[in-house]
Amino acid sequence: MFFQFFIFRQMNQTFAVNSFRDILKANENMENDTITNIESGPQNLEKEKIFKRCGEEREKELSEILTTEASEAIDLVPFVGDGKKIFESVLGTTSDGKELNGKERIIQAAVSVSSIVFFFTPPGTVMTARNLAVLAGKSPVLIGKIAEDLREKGHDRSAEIFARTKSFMERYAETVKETEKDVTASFLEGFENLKKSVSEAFEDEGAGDK
Amino acid sequence: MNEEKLAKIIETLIAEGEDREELSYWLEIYPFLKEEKQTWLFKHLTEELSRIQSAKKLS
Repeated sequence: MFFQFFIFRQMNQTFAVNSFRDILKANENMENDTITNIESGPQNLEKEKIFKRCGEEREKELSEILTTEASEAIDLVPFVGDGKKIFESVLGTTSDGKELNGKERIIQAAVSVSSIVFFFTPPGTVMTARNLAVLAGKSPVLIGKIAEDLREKGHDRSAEIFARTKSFMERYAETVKETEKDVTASFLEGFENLKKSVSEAFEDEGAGDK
Repeated sequence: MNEEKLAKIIETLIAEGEDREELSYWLEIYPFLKEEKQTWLFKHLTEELSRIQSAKKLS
């Protein structure tokens, strides 16, 4: 009798959970992970929020650390105004809006910094990265080259940060490859928008002169 | 700044569900960061841990 009752209760619970999922899906068209979050309770939801917020903060900080340390080795074009805005817009999520995990954030920050070197370094300074056709597969090399340059200039502490970042990137080559594609696309899109807005501004000025 | 203490905070955060790979990277570069950034990281992770613990108490 007790066993029958137990089976009945289990079935009921399973049915209740399934119905709950169905109702949520049907009525609110919610994604699976949202439903999972609801089921995992407020504590986990709050934890996830904290992880996300802190992870984003660390990514920004790491980008700042890497660009500041890199500028001791290389002649970076002053990174202000629109360039900085493009850079900041690249951080945090992918171009299709996917949320990143912690490891991916480290890689995104490192790839973004190599993109700055790639796109913003005057030719003839640290590396002739501009000669490279694309960034694909080159970001760990660029990070490694910054480490070498820093070491040559006697900045051993900064060099170590870049050397370890390079090792981290090499451990996750696949993620780096994906991130390179995404970051390059975002940078190029940012440049295109910038070019467009500059030429529009010139056109407006020209129209004003007539 | 005490590296061992930071390692303990990081281990606790990982046990709470934080990203092991990311936090191990931070621990690896920690000794080479400028002092102000070391202080920032220490404070930042301590605050994260205390926020998580507060969230646990509230639920």
